[in-house]
Amino acid sequence: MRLKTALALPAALALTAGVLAHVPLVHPSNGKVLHWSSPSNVGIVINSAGSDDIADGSHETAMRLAIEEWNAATGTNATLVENTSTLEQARTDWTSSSIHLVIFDETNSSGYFPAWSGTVAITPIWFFSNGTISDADILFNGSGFQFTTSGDPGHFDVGDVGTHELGHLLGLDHTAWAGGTMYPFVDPTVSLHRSISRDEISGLRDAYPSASFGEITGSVRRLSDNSVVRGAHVVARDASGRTAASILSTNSGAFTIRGLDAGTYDVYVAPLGNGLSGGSDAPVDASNLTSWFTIETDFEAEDYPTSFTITGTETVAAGTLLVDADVSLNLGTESDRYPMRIIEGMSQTVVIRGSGLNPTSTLTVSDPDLIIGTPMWFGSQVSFQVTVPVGEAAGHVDVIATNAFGEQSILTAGLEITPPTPSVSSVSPTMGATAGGTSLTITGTGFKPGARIVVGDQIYTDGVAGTVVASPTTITLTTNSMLEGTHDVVVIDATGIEGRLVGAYQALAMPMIATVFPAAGVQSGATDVILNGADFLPGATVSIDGVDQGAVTWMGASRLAFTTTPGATGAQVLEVVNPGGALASSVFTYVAQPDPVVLGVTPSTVARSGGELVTVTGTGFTPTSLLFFDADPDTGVGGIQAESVMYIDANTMQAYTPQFSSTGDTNVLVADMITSQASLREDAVTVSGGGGGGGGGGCYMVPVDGPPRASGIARGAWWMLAVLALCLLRAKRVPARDAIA
Amino acid sequence: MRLLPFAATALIVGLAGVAIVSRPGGVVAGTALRMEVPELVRGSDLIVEGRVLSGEAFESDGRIETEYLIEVERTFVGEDQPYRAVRIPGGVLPDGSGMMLAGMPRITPGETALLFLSEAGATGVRMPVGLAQGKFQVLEAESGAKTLVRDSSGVTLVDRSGALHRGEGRSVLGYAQVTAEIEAALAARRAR
Repeated sequence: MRLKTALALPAALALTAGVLAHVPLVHPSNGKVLHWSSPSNVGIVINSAGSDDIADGSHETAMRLAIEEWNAATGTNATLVENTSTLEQARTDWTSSSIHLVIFDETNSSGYFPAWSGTVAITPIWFFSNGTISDADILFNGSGFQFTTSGDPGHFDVGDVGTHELGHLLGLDHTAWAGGTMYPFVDPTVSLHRSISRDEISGLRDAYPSASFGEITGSVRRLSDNSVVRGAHVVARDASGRTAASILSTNSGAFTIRGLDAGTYDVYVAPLGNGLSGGSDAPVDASNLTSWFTIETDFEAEDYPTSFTITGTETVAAGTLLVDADVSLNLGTESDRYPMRIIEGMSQTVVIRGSGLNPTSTLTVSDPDLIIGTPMWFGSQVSFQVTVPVGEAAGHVDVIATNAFGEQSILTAGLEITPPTPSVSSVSPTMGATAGGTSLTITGTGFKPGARIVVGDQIYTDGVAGTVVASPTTITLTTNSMLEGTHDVVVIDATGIEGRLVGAYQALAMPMIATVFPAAGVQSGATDVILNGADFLPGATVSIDGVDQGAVTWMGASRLAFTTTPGATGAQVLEVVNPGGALASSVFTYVAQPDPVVLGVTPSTVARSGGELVTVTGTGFTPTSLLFFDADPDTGVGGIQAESVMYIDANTMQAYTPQFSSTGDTNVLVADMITSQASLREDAVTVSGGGGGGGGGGCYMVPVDGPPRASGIARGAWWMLAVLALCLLRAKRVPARDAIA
Repeated sequence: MRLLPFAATALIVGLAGVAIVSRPGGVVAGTALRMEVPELVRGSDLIVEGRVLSGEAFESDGRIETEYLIEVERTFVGEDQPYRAVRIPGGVLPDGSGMMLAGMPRITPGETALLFLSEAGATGVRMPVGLAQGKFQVLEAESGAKTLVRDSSGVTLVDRSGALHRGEGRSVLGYAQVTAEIEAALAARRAR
């Protein structure tokens, strides 16, 4: 590397420094920078229809994350303000200036995505002659490509693409940083563009500053004839060797790197694209910029030995930066896949294509903390191992190739350091109400401060509204109101990488009670009740007539068990309230007569063929008690009704066993056909022996649906009629109790 | 605006398989439209080389488009006509207002260009295939030697030999080489 001496011309250069900073979009005719007149309130609407490839509407969440990413940039007042009005989100008239829309064009209705177009997304921007942006919209090419929010292979990440397009919407052109979000090419395997780089932040600070920052000014000229270099890429690196900010020199060769925080910087100049020496195509060149810029590339990339220190908001003059003639050495091509991720605490092999990469060359990276192994040079590519020490901060690093003649090529921000990919191993609890309010603990690895967590359609940010990255392995948050369904839990690092536990959390809607078993109990309480239904949450409470029933056993989203407290006789409202307040109601009836209780059956072993007389002992039996075998223990539904039931007294019943369809232990259910009180004893009888056909079905009770619906009422009435008909049939066949006695 | 890098293609094909292939514009578009002339040809409904005589922007259905009048020197794909009017999205109206799509090529009256254009949409608009990649500026030396430059930065100078002046070019391609690739690609297309 040949170092050039910077000529000190600070006073003059400060005055002639170019107004062009970073790579903004500019008016094609007059070169004025395109900008929003009210950058603190740039409205944006995400079309709710989204992509045909994304059924759950998570494109909205992905775009909101992208919006948050830009809004989190410091030192700028640019703010994207989303309008979530349902009516606005239903609009598709993206050409209207009254809406700035993000929309998926699934049929190429825009005409911008003909077959084979190769354009994944596009951002039309309308502007006035003074450069003020009047409208901008983002169109995804849904007709030609597939999109994902969950890393589906071969699909483009909505967040990755969307973050880039939002940069255009804000007025940024493509960047020469290989690892920048505004890098012009997209790859379905990466999501690192979700996080904007310091280059993009610098661009916003320049276009829409909210504070004063330091600047480095100077100019670029050729060593050979002192002629100015137009469109040179001038880059500042911070003291830790990280790529910090960049701009293009103006047509007078002047530059001003703006938006710099206090610190010490080195500066280098590199051509934006490869020069006349030919060779490979550079990752980014003039053709990737919209227009206007004059980009000269006939010079060698040059590092300069002088460091520049900014203590506050002052302008520091770098003087004239001289560049030598172009060389036959190019590091990086457009066929490389950028950004190239290297992971903190790991060693990885990196391959970078280019030209003139011959074995006598040397390779370095701008961050001296990184450890580079011996490179393998192949002329058109170089392969090397890079080790990122533990604790290295995320950010971009330049790669520098130097040949035997001391000539060099610099790949700006070619490597992006990220933390290891976070992983989510568990979520507790695994379900909660759609209404939110559930305290969630996420367990995993690699959680970092500043992480964002996505559960369903909701975004949670570390440090905001009670969301806390408590440790690298634990995140706690309280859920917001969210869409019903099973959702992935996603932890997204500040660099954009994510850990995802698929289907880890279920947001349940309003609970629903299907059956109450038994549907009635004694007014003094102590009746064991099972509720069957859906969307019950752990922690749900049960009340009858407004009286809390105490401990509730959660037996899954479809079943709750509790024991009644005393209550007033008559039908009472039974309510289940999920954590968060979602409520379901049904009916429970308190009656005066004691609940039946089955204590035993004699004999305890019966033949499968049926016809045996059994004696059931217990309490609370009545003349209207029915006897069933093998009923559903949770609902009381089904089972085989015993024949010739004989009421002896309140403690004794006799009946002939029916034919059983199978052998084994079975339950016995005593139910009062008038009050609906019931008692079921598990494994009360063992059915043995062969022979016999299947028993008849039966049902003693009317399942209580809730909340009451017309269909439920009809169904209940049908069952009532069925029971009554059954009783009438039995009345014809079974002698009256007195007669038997 | 996002484009597919050439390297992404093989990966997409490998990963997406049938799902992507089932979308006609998917994989192949990404591959084809990324710098490779044969794929530029594949995506083109009209390939013309000619001198841009004028460009007139107008508003249409809330958008701004520019109609360029081209004096055609050579038509590779499409009906051969001495003059062609092609409409391309974006442009600047007489009052200075306009619309742009980041990544589109800059087409300037007076220059000679080789354009790879998509089929015309319902409104008659054509898209440059691969956006900026769908346009080459044709430079001709006094000797008649032609060179193609993919460069949106404005005027590029050439000397008598056809070589570019210092610092004025990127992505320089030999005219003969590119036209040969176009012809070969067309032959392949006809064979299919």
